Amino acid sequence: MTIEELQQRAKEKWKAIEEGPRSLIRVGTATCGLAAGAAEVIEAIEKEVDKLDEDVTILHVGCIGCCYAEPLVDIKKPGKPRIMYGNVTPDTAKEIITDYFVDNNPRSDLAMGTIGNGEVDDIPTFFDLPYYKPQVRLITENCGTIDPRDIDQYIANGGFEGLNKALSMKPEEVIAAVKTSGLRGRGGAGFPTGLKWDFCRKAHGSPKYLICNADEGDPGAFMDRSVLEGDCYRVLEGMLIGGYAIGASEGYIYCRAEYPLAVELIRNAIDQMKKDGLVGDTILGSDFNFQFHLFLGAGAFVCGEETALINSIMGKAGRPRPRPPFPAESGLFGKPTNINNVETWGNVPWVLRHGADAFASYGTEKSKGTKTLSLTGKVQRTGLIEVPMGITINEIVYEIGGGMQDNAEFKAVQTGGPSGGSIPYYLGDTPVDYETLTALGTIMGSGGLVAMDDRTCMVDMARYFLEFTQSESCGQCTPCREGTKQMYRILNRICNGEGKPEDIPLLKEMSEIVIDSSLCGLGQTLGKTPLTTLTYFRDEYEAHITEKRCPAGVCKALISYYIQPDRCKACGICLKNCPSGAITGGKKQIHVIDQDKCIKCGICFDVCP
Amino acid sequence: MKELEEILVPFKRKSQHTIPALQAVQEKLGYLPKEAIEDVAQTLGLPAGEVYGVATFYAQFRLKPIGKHIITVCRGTACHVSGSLGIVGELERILGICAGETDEKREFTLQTVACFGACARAPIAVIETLGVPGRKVHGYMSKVKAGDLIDSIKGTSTKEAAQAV
Repeated sequence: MTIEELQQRAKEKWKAIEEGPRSLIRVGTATCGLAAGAAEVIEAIEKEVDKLDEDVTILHVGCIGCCYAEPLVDIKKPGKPRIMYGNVTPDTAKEIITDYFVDNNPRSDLAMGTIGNGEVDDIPTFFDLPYYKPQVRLITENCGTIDPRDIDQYIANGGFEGLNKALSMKPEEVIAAVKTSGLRGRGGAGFPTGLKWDFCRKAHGSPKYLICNADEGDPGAFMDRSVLEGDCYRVLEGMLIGGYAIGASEGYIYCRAEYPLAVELIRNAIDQMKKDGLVGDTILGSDFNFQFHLFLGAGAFVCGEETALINSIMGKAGRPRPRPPFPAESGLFGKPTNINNVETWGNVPWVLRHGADAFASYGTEKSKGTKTLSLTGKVQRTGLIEVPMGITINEIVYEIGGGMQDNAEFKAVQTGGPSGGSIPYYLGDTPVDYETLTALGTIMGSGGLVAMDDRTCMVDMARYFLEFTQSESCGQCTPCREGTKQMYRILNRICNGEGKPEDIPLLKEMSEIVIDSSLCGLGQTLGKTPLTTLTYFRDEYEAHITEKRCPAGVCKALISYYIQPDRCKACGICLKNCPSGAITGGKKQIHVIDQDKCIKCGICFDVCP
Repeated sequence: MKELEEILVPFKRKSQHTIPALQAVQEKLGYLPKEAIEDVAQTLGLPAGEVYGVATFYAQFRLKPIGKHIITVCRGTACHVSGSLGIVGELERILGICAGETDEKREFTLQTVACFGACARAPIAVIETLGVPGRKVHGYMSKVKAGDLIDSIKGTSTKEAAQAV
């Protein structure tokens, strides 16, 4: 099929969905939506819709980004804008449908905002909400709008236009366009994508391979999952464009097995693309051929490193190897290979479709375009955000995130997961771009951004990451294998109140040694968390060591639970919930915790009204 | 093993099939017994030691049988900040097993995952039940909710037992 035929079919279908006589209900059913109970909401909606006189289409869409308000339901009546409802339960879903469809009451009290032309009552515009206002949605433009199982909905929204344009250009021209756009690797290191492609194109050897790194292993990061679950076609289209530009005819998608929904959607997308002649031989009538292979990772963080990932596809344990030779010269099966991550591939179709200059108009001088970030932790509004490069930490935390939960104090953000470091609140004006974050001792990373408040212990945070990296170290090089163990031991000691003053310089020295002497990115970056926390939060380390005190009240060995007599209402809730029977008290009698029996589980604190 | 003959058919004598073959076997048996690793090695024409090396390298592969209900607590950063370690501790206390273990009756397996990717609703716990397709994702977990969850599972399993009688 030609692109025109595909577009005609897709546009007719889309027009029928969007502008047809039927109302349209979209429900976010990505993993975040399902975790919030979207399946139950859909069940309730289906039951309620059956009772109506009119026909309604229900679309299962990906996540539009505001995970904090999941489950999300948006309703579009013919000729009206979409109305987005958040935190929908089966009960409120029932109410909304009855009220809006039967009584024509759009329930503005439950609505978050409208999307599209027109106004409904006093409901604000969805994308003008504080959460969305600073955002620029390029790669996530379709997330939450199209059904990721239907290729026509992607095509109707500009899908494969970038590929079609690329196929009309010379491969060198495509690479030049990617270079001009300033797109850099979104996996964390920020290597210029066009340059990487150029190396692989010029490398000797055939066949050449492409790999999409979808082994999003950073704890606290889910950008790639959201993109794959919301609009996976985009990533595959990016790989097709890359394959044409580089001269590769086979591509592997290495997706972590912990993302079963993403895996299912990629499989489905490849099947549909095959049927439409977008995979296989003579794609869109050109002489370009391409095949996809889907490979499921088996749970190893180090496989995010490119040489480890290549070893994993070849059936070996995922251990990195020294570079050079770089994969561009000798990668998968010893052939020239180009690896990019999900977000990098996903940006490529946009660059081709709208032009390199349009992409480069977003961002800073050296960091172009947008970055998806998973905003999590103690902020009020959490979720997937897409922001122009150069936005400040404060804008993200306060404007988009709405500040801290429970009016707590903002303390720091961790960027880049276990490979990154912490930025303290007083550097909140820091712009988010590759160079500035590196200068502060952390990295952009793949885009995890965990906000922490004054009830987060930074020493415990460092211990947490070291626990993670020491268990994920592949073990082949000594500084990483032994160094992480020792660093973890030191941090454990400090958290347990057994730290010594000399632990601080020792931890600093060990971090530097592991960074300098490890083989791969895992070892070379894991020292950033201890180093940045030592730089910015040294007083917390000192409080643990010299005063045997955890200022945030997190480290179990350094805290005790007492009931404040003047605030105890003798309600008995803590007594009932205490698993070790450590609390005594009766009606109208102030409760007391027996310190010998207390296991410091903290349940009493959690349940106290 | 007889039950593996069919599922190992698509995997030819290529080392690149090691991980997919082990994944298929685990999907079928729930874990990788010694005999299955030997079968995979034979199918692929590799030394059993090499296949064992791969099986022990990756977190996904289990060498011991699992319980009927698999409870996975996410230990990602966002979950950690929101108290997932306490939830693991509470489940360990209630179930009387450590993370990574299965109880004697093979009713529960408790495990942790590095990150589940649903960080915006941290802390997360996921429950899978053998023989029941899909998985149930629970967001905004707490120690108290964890206890309630186990109670409700135990409730259903006793109900099922009663029905069976």
